[in-house]
Amino acid sequence: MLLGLSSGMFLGWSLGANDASNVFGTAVASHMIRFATAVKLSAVFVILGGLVNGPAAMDTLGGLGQIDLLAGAFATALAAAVAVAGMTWAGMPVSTSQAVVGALIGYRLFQHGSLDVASWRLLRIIVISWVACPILAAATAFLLYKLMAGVFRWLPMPLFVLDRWLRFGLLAVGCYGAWALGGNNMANVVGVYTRLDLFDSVRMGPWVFSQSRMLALLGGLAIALGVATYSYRVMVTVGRDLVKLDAVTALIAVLAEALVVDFFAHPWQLGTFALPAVPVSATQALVGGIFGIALARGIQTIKKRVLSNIVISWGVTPLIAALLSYLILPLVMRFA
Amino acid sequence: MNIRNYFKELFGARGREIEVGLDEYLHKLNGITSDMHGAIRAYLNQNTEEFSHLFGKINEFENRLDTLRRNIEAEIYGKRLLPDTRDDVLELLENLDKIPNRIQSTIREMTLQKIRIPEGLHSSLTELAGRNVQIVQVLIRVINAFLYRPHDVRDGVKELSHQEHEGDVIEQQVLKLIFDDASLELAEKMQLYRFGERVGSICDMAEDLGDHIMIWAIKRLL
Repeated sequence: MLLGLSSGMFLGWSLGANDASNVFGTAVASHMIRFATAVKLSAVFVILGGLVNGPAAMDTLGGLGQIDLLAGAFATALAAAVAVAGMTWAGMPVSTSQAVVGALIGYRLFQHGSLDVASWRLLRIIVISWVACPILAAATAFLLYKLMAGVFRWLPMPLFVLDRWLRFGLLAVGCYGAWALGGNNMANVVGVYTRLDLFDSVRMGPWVFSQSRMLALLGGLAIALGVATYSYRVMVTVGRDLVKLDAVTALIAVLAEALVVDFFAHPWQLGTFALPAVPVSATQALVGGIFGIALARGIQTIKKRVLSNIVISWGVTPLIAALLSYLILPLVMRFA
Repeated sequence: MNIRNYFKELFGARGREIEVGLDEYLHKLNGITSDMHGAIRAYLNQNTEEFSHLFGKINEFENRLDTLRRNIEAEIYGKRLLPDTRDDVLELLENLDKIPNRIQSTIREMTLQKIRIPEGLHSSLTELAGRNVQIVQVLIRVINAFLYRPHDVRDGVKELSHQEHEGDVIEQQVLKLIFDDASLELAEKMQLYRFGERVGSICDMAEDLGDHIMIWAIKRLL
């Protein structure tokens, strides 16, 4: 079982190494908090977010992949991890969420030859959510910027009071961002195992610690390990880029990202339309947030490369992951 | 910094030390500018005792301002402010520090070179030094606005610009009087020209700093 879970844990580790930088990068790069403090806060809030909100998106991916063999889950997570590592190595933009969904499709095609109508529908919703994610983040950041500009105009703050509030805000938003990341992206790490029968539920007084939550705890630990062991460089790089935006802008961008990622971590009933919890890319949400601020400031241009990178990520990442999954599965199944 | 210390610093009284230091700095800056005015007046009235006393005070003020600046800078580095706040306040201090340095060096040159100032220049030079006192007071108001009431910065900078223009007019008048005076040798004219420019430069420094402060304030108002 440990071997079966290892590929998912590796995926969690790489997610921690890359994506935690989005939320605490600013605070660490500007030396407001130590890296060690950022690691502790990220770990706590990613795990808590995963425990509380993680199961919803895990169910979505579980439903899409319908994996009922540990070897299949291992191969799928491995394919996604290899796709992420390979594309990162090649310097291509990559999203863990998109790699995992691609790998799940590869699994379904390998096992069942095709997708049923419900899965196609779910896939459509997932892809629409990916496209909507940076757009929503841009809109949220735009509104937040206008709101904050209004607040600053009506309530001008002394310099050091503003500094104190912004520092507190960056820390609070970082914690919320880690919570949102845990709630949304935990599905990428352990979603492939959801339909397996790996752990018995444990009752602790009035609470039942279900398999989903145990998986979320494991995934959270893997993400925390990734943050602790390998995220420093990415955190400082992303953080410095964000710091260049100035503290208010960085705060708004991270808050918009966290709000949108958190939004997609929950299932919503919008009239007759049921939107399931969907794992999305935190990095793309952040890019959307930065774009929204640029729009609010009256800058109406965006680097075409940034836009094309996002579009490439939507299409190429799932395709590569699906192909890898389709190729790795027969090898793993033979040894299972 | 652990999370407990972070919050202690974030909301505790210790974070106010920079503000207290800056307040004291501005208070002393006002003092040294007034003393420059007094020293020039005493020099022109050939009141040697008063001039020596004020020159001593200027040296003392300059030393204290340097120490104060270093303490505030150390405080800023130790306080983990946002990079934006840290950079702007440090730049403010570095630029501000040029004013007491210029005051000290100008008065020192005066006493070292034993500059002979013709009677005809006395009133204009006294007026120029007085204008420095006024402009530094406006600059202090602008800095206080930047620190505590960002909306008031714009008006303060407008006032600075107005005062600088007035200062410029007086400075030009002083320089013209120097070159119009047929009793002066060229070397004396050049010596007085440099002296007049250095007295007038305080107004330019204040205006330049005001322009920087305006940008820093606008940046924070989004």
